[in-house]
Formats: sequence, structure tokens, C-alpha cells
Amino acid sequence: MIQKRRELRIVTFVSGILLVNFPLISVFNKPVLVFGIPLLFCYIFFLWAFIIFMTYRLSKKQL
Amino acid sequence: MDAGIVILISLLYLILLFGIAIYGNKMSKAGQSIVNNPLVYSLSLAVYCTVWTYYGSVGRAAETGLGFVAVYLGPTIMAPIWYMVMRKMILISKQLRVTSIADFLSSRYGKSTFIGVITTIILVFGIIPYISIQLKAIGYSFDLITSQNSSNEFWDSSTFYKDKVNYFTILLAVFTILFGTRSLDPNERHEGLIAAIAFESIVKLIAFLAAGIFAIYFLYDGLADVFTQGANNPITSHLVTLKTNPASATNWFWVLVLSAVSVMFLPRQFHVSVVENNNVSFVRQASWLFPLYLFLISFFVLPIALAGKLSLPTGSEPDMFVLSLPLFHGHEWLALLVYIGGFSAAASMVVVSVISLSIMVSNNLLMPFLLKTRTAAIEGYALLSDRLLYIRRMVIIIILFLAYGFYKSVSSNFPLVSIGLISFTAILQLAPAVLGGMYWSRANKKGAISGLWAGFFIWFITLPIPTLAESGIISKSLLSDGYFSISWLRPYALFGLENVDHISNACIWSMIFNIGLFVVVSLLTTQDVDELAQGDIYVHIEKYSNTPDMEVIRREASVQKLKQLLIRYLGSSKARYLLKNFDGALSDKNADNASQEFINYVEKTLTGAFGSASAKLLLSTDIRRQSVTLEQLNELLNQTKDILEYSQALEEKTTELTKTTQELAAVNTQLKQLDVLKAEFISTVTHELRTPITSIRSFAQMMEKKEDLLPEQKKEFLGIILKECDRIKRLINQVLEVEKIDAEVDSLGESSSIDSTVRLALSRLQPQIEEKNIDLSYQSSDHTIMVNLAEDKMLQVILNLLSNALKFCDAQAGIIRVTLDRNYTENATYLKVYNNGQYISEEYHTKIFEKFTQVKDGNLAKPEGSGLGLYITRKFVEQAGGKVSFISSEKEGTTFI
Repeated sequence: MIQKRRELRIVTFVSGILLVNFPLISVFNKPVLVFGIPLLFCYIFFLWAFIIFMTYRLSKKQL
Repeated sequence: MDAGIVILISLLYLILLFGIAIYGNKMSKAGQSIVNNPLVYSLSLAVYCTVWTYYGSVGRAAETGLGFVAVYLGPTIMAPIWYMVMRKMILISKQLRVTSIADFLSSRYGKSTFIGVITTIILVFGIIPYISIQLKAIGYSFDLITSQNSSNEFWDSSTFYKDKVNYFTILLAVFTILFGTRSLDPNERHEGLIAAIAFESIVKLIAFLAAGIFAIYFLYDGLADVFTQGANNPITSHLVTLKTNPASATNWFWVLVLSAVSVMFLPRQFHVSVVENNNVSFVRQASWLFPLYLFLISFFVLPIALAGKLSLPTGSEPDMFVLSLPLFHGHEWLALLVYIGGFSAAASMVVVSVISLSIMVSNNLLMPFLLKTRTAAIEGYALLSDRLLYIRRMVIIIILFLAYGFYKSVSSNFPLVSIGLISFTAILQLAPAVLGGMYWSRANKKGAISGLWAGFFIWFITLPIPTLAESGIISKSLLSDGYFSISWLRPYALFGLENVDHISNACIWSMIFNIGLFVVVSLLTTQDVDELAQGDIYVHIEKYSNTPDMEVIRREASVQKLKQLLIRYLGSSKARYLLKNFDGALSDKNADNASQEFINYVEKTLTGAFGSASAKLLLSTDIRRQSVTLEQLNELLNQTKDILEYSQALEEKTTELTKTTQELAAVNTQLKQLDVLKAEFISTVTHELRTPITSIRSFAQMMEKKEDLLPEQKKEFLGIILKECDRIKRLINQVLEVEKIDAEVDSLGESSSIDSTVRLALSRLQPQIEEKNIDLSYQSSDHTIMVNLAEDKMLQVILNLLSNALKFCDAQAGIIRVTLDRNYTENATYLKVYNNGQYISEEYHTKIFEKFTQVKDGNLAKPEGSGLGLYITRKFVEQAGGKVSFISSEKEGTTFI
């Protein structure tokens, strides 16, 4: 159980690194507005919220 | 706004903070700590957000769009593994009473004085620019908020005594001294300070969010409006995306790395997250609460930058958009709130940074120096601890005025963020030695010293010196010609590295040399005894944190001398208090030789107060250490490791054993239950067998005695006898079937079609259905569905379910519905048999599929059958990998699925 949680932490960490860096980030780095909000802004803040949520889940005693 | 009012409010705010701090201290003394919870801990971590975040982010966003966000994304990406790294750092620091990042390193590499000195120098050089931008922002925001008023003619930044930043610096120095150096605490804990920091974090967040909401919802029609206008305006349209040239991409990456490292190793971050930590488990909550704080404070940055660019007159300073937006649009009180928020951000950073720097400078730089050069003179000083407090106060004042000087000469010409990043790059130099020290046991002192020096040197020539050149303090030709006029030594394109920005250039080269030398030198040289012992504690902290004093090197000292040491350096009242805390010392008060525990206790106490290297020096004269060779120590460490592993293995064995015992007990009760059931079964079966035999016997007897029976009667009797024989046969068959299942005779591998089996079963039961006059319908599926069960077993299952349905369905108007359905989303097949008879009461819900269970119900006639039907059904279905369940309610009848 502890091992699994450890692995999940590292997976989240590594995917975070990949998702916010070039080249992957350039997929969303376009001058497009989604409901008036820039695509990149949406992407970064959604990703951010997602990482916070994952960390929150991982911080729970029960997984 | 009038300058007098602003000054008054700033002062009142500082007094309020001080009140909170005093309250916090009082509560912690009373044992009702207000900082002992994860929320306050997380808020105190938000000391990370300085004026850089508060004012500088918007300035950066006005230039690079979302480029500013990397500084906050870095810590967020670290967050998932934060628990692993921070937890280890905290455990190590608590174990060894480490009170600063410099001491953390010095202690790891054999309590080396030299490592402590280098780290302190790097940090002082690195942090002073950072403090200077706080001073700059305070001064600038003060100027701006009072600019519409003529009464501030007195202020003139070119004259020292007329420069208000100077007064703010003095104010902050007083504030820091009052907060941080009231007494010498062996743990360097300041609960009151943390309470004030947490409060400031709330203030700055609220003020910033207020400014954001004002800019977006009062000046514009919400987020979409700001962005749409921004995207359509040629001045700002480039801000909605990141630049994609290689230089920007490299910069983006390195800023992520810098911030991820800084959030752990900046002196103030180390202080609040490690030294002031009350409980290791708080890191768990903080690892998501702190990124959430960063998320909130970053959310409005880009919209504010766009709003500032679009609505403020050109030439406005982007770093001050947050403040100038409400000012320009005439909302003075909102501007005042924003000003206070910025002041909070600056004050909390300055206070914590300067306190932690003063601890490092006094413990790791000055103390060892004093102890080495003036040992004789030290003996004459009554109290070293009092001296230390004076030293710290002096250090605080000196650091703040160095920062002030840096601000006057350099920072005023640069945006906030670019100066801040110079500091972050200095912090990055510590990362290899810290992380390597925690996870790589071969990392040694020589490697760490080489790496730190190399990294620091390259940082120094690629960032601070060219910055001085840019502001005209040294010749500007350095930038274009390079050091010694050698073109590949140009500071911003070192070794000809073109096409990257200044920060990436410095990061890349400093890291190559820092990590390279650290690793290579560590591999080529050996550790001494102290390094090996300390390294083992750092890398395998879990081995030590459960057993408080697992000492590998035996040391000897007299109790009397150790006590004298404590009294001499900490004062007699404090020493008495500390001795009282340590019961072990009292028990062997008169013994000449102090116990290992007591020696450790004294060393830790002194480490907390003076740093590990100084404590080692202080003790060196009074402690004789058992001489140990490197090989012996290595062996000892391995032994302790073996013992630990052995005890862990033992623990595992024990848990395994308990588990087995529990399982055995469970099996035992199950067996007992089975025994009872078997007995019941035998009585049921014999009873069941007796009934038909009795009737067979009586009819046969009748036929024997009465010879004048009519042929019809005879035929009827014989019919009954045959029927009863069938019943016996059925019963015996079922018993045999049960035995077969229990013996687990498997016949897997065969398969059958459900549909055809159901039809077969229905045709067999046709007579009974007609007899009871039941309305039966069967709805088949469109597809042929196969199950992994032999056809005869499947038939048995369906017959059981159907005959149960027949048995129990309503006597007058029975309805039975059979539906076969394939659910492709769940990839499952459902065979539902529904009847409208008696419902199954709750108490039988779990028992119904057990062997020999019969539903006992007074109203119901004794059902025919042995109670084996559903048990057999369940066993067969489970063999095929399926499940039997049912829904039963009074109104709906019973549906078996």
C-alpha cells in the first residue's frame, strides 16, 4: 500500500514535468480563445488544479 | 493619499503583527499552540510569495504573458513527491537539531566548518539582492500611493536621511530583532513569528484577490472580456501565448527547476518548513494546500497585467500595475489595502530571511571563527549565549543595510523578477549537495566543497557581475568583450553558449560544473569517520528516528565537565532547566563517566544553539573519542543495518504468524458450523426419506391386506408409490450432487448455450406449469450466449431456479418471467427469473445460498425439497465465473439474477 502510494506520487511528479514543458505544452500554446479565455491559460490552470487534486488524494490516509 | 496616513497605517499594521506574535508566544507557552495545525503550517509556507509574486508577477506577465507562472508551477509539480523529500529533511533535522540549511549541509559532511562557511557565503550573496527588491517594492509602492499629494516634498531619495526606504529598512530591522532575537532557543522555534507570518499570508492573498476582482469585474466585464480585448489589441495580443523560440523554452524549463528547488532550500523556506515544523504529518496537508495558495494568488495575474496594459497610461511601471490600477481609477481605499498586502509580502519575507541568515552567519561563520582564534579569551566570557544574541542583532542590521545598498546601486534599475531569479540561481547551487547528501551515501565532504565552490563561482561571474556591469558600476565592455576580453568568456554567453537567456546560461554552466565536480570528486576520494557516520544518519534516517540514540562511535566524558560546558555557554538557569529535562543525567549524577545518551543530549543542545560545527569544537576539548578506523566504522554501520533488517524481518514474521492463527481460528469455527449443519442435514434427510417410505409402506400394506381393491384404486395407489419412489430418487441424486461439489470435481472446459438450456428446462417443466395454471413467459436474447459450464449442470441451475419460482409463486395467479439479457457495456449476461410469490425475509438473505437452509415460515406449508437446490445452483454458477443474487420485496416478488 505504501509502495503503491510512493509509485503514484512519482508517476504524478513525472507526468507533471512532461505536461508543463516543451514540446508537449506547445500543443496548447496557440492564440485561440475558448469562451473568451486563452487556450494556454485554460490548459495551465486545469493542469494545476489536477495536480493539486492528485496530491490531495495522495495525502489522504486511505487511497 | 497623505504620506502621514500611509506611514501611520503601516506602523499600526506592524504593531498588530507584533500583537499577534506576542499572543502566539503566550498561547504556545500555555500549551495551547495556535500554530500547531496543518493550515497555519501551510500558510506559513506562503512566505514564498514575496513582493516578487505580489507586484513582480504582474510586471513579468506584462512582458512575457504566462511566462510568470513557471515560478509557481515548479513547486506545484514538486508537490506530489514533497512528502517524501520534506519528510526526510524534517526527520533528519529534528534528529540532529539542525536549525538552518547551512547547518544541514555542514552536519551531513562530517560537521564540517568549511561547508557551513561556504554555504553561508553563498546564501548571503544570494539572498541580499532578493531582500533588496523587497525594499525597492516597499519604497516604490509608498511613492505611488502618496504621489497625488504635495506634502511628500520632504522625501528625496538622493539624500540618505531623506530617503524613506532607509526608514523602512530601520523599521524592519527593529521588527526583526524584536521578533527573532529575544532569546536563544536551542530549537530556534518562534511560534509567535509563525502566527504573524500566517496572518500576513492571509492578508496578502485577500488584498491581491481584491485587486484582481476589481480589475476584472469592475473595470471589465469579467475574465472573458479582459482576455478578448487583450487578444484583439496588437499591444497585448502576444501575451496570451508563450514565446516558442528555443531561448524562451529553455528559460521556461530552468525557471521551473529553480522554483522547485528554491521552495525547499531557500533559507526562509527551510526555516518555516523544517525548523518551525511541529509535526511531520503536516507536510501531507501542506503538499496540496500550499500549491492551492499559489494557484489562487496566480490566477488573476495575467488578467491584471492585461487590464493594466490596456487601461493605464503608457509608461506606467508594469511592476506596480496592481497598485496603480485602483489608484488611477480613483479607489484610494482599495489601493491602501493593496499597499498593505504588498507590505505584508515584503515584511514577512524580510523578517524570516534575515532571521535565518543571522542564525547561519552567527553559528556557521562567526562562531567557529571565534572559537578557533580566541579560545583562551572565550574562557573569560561569562556567557557565550548573550554574546551570540548581540552578534545576531548586529548581523541583522548589517544584512539589511547591505540589501539597502544593493537596492540603491543596482536593483532600482531592474525589474523585480529578474533580480529575484538571480537569487534563485544561487540557491540552486545547494541542490546537488543537499539532495546528494540525503540519497547518496558516498557523497563526501571534498566532493561537496568542490561542487559548491564551482557552482558559486560560475553563478557569480554569470549573474551578479554582469548585472553590476549593466548598471554601470563596472565597465560595460565586459558584456560585449567577455572577461579578459576573451570572447568565449562573455558572461551571458559563457563558452560560446548562444541563444539562451542569462538565467539559463548561468544554470546550465553552474550545474554542469557543480554536479560534475561533486560526483567525480566524491567518487575519487574517501570519507573520514565523521562523514561516514553522519552520512549514514542522513541516508538511512528511518533507522535512527525510531531508536533515538543509535550511536556507533563510543565517546567518553565526565558528567561534571559536560555540565560546566552547558552552564558556561547557555547560562546557569537555562542549563539547570535543560538538565532537569534530561532524567538520565540526574540518575547518574555522581558517576564520573557520562552515558552516551547524556553526551548526545549535550551535543544536540549545543548544536541547536550554536550549529553542529561549533558544537563539535566546543565538545572537542572535553570528550575523548574511541578511536575507530574507517573499516571498523563501516562494519559497525553495516551491523546496525543488519540488526535493523533482522528486526524488521522478525516483525514481518510475527504479523504473518498472527495472520495464520487468525485464519486457523476462522476455519475452525467454519468447521464447527459445518458439523452442526451436517447433523441437521442428516436429520432432515432421514426425515425426508422417512416420509415417502412411510407412505409407500402404508400403501403397499393396504394393497396387501385388502384384496378386494378396485383396479382403479390399485392403479392410483401404485401411482402414488411410484411418485414417492421418484421423490426418494431425486433426494438421493441431490445429496450425491452436493457431495460432488464438495469434493470439487471439476468439469470445466465445456460450454453450453443458455438459450437452448432454458428452452429445454421449460419443456421439462411444462406439465407442472400447466397444472398450476401459471402465466409464464420467456424473453430470449438476440444473440447466442455461451457459458463455461457443462450443459447438464446449466440445466440443473435453471431447473432449480425455475422450480423454486414454481414452488413459491402465487398459488392462484402465478406469474413467472424469465429474461435473458446481454449487457455489452459491462460485458455481462443476465438471466433473470421473476416470480410474484412470497418474498424472502431479511434474516434469510445471506443464508439462502448456504447448504441445507430452508426458509422456515409458519404460514407456508413445509416446502418439498431438502434446501440443497440453491446451494447447488450457487456452486455451479460460481464455477462458471458467475454470481447468483436476488432482489426480494413484499410487493415486487422475488427476482433471481
